Amino acid sequence: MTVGRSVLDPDDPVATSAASTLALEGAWDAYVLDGPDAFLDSWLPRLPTEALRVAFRMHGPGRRGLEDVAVTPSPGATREELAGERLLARGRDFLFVRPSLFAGADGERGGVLVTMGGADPNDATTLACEALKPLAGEHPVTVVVGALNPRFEDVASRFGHGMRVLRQGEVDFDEELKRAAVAVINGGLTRYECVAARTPFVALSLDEGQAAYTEAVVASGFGRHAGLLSSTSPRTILVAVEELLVQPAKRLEMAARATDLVRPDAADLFARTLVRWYTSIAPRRRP
Amino acid sequence: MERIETPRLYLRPMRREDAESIVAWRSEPRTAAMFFSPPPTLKQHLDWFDSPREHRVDYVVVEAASDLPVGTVSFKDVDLERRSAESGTLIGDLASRGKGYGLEAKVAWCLYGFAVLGLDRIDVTVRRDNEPMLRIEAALGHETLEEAVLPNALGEPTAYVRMTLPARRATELDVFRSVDRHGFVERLAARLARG
Repeated sequence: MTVGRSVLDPDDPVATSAASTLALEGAWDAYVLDGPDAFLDSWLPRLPTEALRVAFRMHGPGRRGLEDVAVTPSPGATREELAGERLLARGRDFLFVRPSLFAGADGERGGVLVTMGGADPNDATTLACEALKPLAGEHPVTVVVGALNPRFEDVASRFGHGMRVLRQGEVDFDEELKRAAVAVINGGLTRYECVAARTPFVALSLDEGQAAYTEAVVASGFGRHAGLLSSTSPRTILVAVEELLVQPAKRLEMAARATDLVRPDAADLFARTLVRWYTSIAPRRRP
Repeated sequence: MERIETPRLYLRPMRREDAESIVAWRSEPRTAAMFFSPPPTLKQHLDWFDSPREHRVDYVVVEAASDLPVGTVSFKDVDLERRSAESGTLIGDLASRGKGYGLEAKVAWCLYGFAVLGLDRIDVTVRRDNEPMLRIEAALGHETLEEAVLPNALGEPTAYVRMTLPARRATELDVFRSVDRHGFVERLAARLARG
């Protein structure tokens, strides 16, 4: 089976371009797509019907049944069920994180890493930098500004005197994350990257949906939630970060908890799940 | 955890304001002789406390009835890959010695290490002539790894015993259940059963 994978992100022109290419390409047996539900619902009908369609959906399986396999990565327990021939899977075993984040996550650490994703349309980077200004003299603060964030110059000029402000791509992000004592993030998949790197996070949420996932991870014993971006304050962020910085025991407890939350072998496990399911339905699907 | 409870004690994370008590305990001559390094000054202790202190956890042992700190427990060299750590236990308040607090604190501390930090083994290095501590380690089921002569805090050659406590021991011995107030033994048993 040949598998093509695409990340469909309406804010990411590179990914959107890749998606366009994918939709025109008919040589693959399986398509693995992830992105916002509306985007998936738009793209899935365009794929060749003889191909397997695997969709990663944040909010559960699509009601229209456009995909053969619907996967919802979440911090909850892993569950798999069949709906007719469709495989519906959800849970923590489907959280895929780069292997490089797991390796060497036990090294020396210090300081705070701020990372708010590629475009950061809500300017969470500036809010986090404002929040961390009081501790930048005592603890090194590194700010990684997303490649698509147009505010790099502004952030660098406002905060660069006390913080290390870098463009995404200028540094080995995984190593930076593994060397930080605490990360300030805006939820999303970065929360699971923090888990893999065993770097406790203080997360801001863009919306209630993101908040729910972050709360689930926090309830599992990892990280802190500083609330919705629209209602949190620099003070709330600062207090949460300081609490983690002055409590090595708490950080260590979270690091220990992380070993149960994200699996380094999740991709292999999913591949086996996919093959098992496909083997069971193949005789009916392709007589 | 904010508080680890036992029948007569509770353990809580070490705070900056504990500094004077800890330095006083460490400076008591009989206690100082048990350590590998000389007693710290208050400034040295605070500098250490304010440092990142990666790979270690430090709690204070408090007598529940009086709410007074009586000692410390620690894990250093915590290795989450190998699931191991080196433990330290000190009942520094001389009036609190001889009451079984050391055993009670150590049991709760090991349970925390196994159940919350996910350790598979906890090592300890004890002076060969520190009989009270050796009795505690024996009661908990420690296995001797080796005996060695190492320089003490004054640089004098001193006999030490290096021991290890495997996690499974906490599910086998009643002493762990008798101190456990948090369901640590059940959590540990479940983890070990999962492999």
